[in-house]
Amino acid sequence: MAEKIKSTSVELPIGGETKEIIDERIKKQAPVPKELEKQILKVDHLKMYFPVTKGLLARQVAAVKAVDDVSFSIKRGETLGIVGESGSGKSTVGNCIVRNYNITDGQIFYNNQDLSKLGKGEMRKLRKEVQMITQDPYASLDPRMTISDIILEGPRIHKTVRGKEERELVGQMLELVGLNRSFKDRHPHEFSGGQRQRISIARGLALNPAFIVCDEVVSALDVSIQAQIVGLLMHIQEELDITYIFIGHDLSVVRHISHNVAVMYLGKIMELTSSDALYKTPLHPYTQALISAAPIPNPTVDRGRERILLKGEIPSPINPPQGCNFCTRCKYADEQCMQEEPEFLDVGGGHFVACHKVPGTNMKGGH
Amino acid sequence: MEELLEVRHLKTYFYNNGAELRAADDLSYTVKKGECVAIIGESGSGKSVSALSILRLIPFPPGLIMGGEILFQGKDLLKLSDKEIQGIRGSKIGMIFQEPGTALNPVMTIGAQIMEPLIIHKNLGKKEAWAEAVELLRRVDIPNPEERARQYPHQFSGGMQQRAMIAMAMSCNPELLIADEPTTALDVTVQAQVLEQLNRLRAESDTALIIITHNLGIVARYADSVKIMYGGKIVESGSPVDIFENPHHPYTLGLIRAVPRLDLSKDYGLHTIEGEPPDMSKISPDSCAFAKRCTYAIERCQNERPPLEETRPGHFCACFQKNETKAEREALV
Repeated sequence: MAEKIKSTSVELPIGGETKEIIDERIKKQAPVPKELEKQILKVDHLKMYFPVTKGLLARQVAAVKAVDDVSFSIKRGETLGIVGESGSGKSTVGNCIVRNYNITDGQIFYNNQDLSKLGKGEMRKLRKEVQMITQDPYASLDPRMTISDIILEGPRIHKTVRGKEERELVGQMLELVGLNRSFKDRHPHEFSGGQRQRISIARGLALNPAFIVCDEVVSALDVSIQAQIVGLLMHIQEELDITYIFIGHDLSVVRHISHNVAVMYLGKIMELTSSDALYKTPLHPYTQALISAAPIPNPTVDRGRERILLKGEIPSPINPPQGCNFCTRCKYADEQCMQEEPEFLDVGGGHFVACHKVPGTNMKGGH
Repeated sequence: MEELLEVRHLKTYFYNNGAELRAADDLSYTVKKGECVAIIGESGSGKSVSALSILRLIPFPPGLIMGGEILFQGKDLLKLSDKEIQGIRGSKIGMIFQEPGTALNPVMTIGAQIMEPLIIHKNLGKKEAWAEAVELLRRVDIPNPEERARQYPHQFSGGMQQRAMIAMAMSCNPELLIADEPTTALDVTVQAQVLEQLNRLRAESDTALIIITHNLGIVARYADSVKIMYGGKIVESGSPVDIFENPHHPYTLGLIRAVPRLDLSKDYGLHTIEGEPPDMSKISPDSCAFAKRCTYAIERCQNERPPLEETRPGHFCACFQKNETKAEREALV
């Protein structure tokens, strides 16, 4: 029976010609210094504030603390999932890493280079290695360009291919994402949402990146297509040894694709741990509420679960609560939570949590 | 339980550039008093059309209800005059739409919008209707309802807008509520709040609910009965336990296995249904709509439409190969 499941699960047509292409691509990737082999990205106390202005002179009256003191690191070839509700700052983290924004404070190290210290030219080189795939496959593809032009836009700018190689690259990329090579002269409107997302992925892979930020890439897709794209991304990671940040709001999808998951709330990471520990031993009350709110498609399992309903809604990031950001909705919150901001601490085995009430971070109490 | 709504052989077709698209193709189902029926399908499966047809909200052109009967409390809704159906919309049958942001009128206060059905259907005076509107907002847990009723939709968050929509739909104590993707635009924790609320109100007043969704999880939690739609047809229907733990149709099986499960180890693996949802205008009426993507398909599936047959009491499936899916079904966790 178990074999039966395996045989019908994700299998992509990789083999023969494409296999060679992949081997070649791996060879082309720059050699990695030994000591850095593991850690590809390290984010240290990242802050991203957006000014709120008022009046004719655009006086700054406040700041939206979209990302407020976030730290994490990712190992090469792994996936970090970032999950959170709207307004949690999860997409802003992704945009800071690809430097779509100039960060307010903190450091982002990519292969031990501090991204915020790189000049324009150096950053341009780095953009080949760090790519982003976005949510909306309808808005992110230029309707007037052919698929071939879309895929080649990056390689042409960076001059990584010329002449006949262009054609070959487009063919390879389309095959890699499970599309027909003959699609290259068509336009985006001729494709369905799932196919467009495959084209976005092909474009993201065309520069042979080592790191991809996937921002809500399956949120707009139907259930059966969502599974195809998640399968494709996981398969590509295995074949090409790519590192992902996978940003999403659906905890079960994010957990499925990720090695580690960070749960964000109001600009801060509340909990960061391996994806298995996240479901088995969630420590932060917000994570527990999020897991309880995510329905499980099995009536026997789901109806037997404890349900934690949060009161109210996420506060404004312009004026976050004092103390712990979650204290306004937390049933465990006490005096300390309203006054003091909890530290983001390792409670053992790389399980990080920011909560006064978790044993190991505070001797006074527990759940 | 007595039958509240009976849809018989409903045919709603759309016509576009000469092509005929059968969005609801010979649909039959019933909703009992106080029951929660879930209609599940992917985009383009005809799930919204199946419910919008009940209130005759299908835009013409291009859509047209070509045949069938929709019996609500014994009356055929398709035979009513426009005036008579207006008397039912919002009073006996309430509707909750997917995007509260676009469904609410931006230039009317929330209170005024909730008052509308009360004045029209319940003949309340303005003062009474206002008091009732405030009370309804209180029932859906909107803080400071007196103040909030005077505000406009843009001053409400998404979750609060949807709760105001629920208040409006429940205002005339309908017998039946139709909710079209009621929580798709909401965050997970807000979704849980809104669904819990909807379910509580519904249970209190014994209102039947048709919930249209693509989210299998919320169905498992709340539904009494589940219909799976594909290509304008119901391919499988039964209790949530029948559908989720003992599915017979290859599409239902594929769909359930395509959703990652939080409670299982990641090694469980994700199943994918190959291919794309079909172009509905190109499906032959004399074939199974799923045949092109189905791993169990035989020649017969291309030439004959499988009828909905009872596999055990209350559990129906439309598939010639339903006995062949046994191994896959038993491997489900």
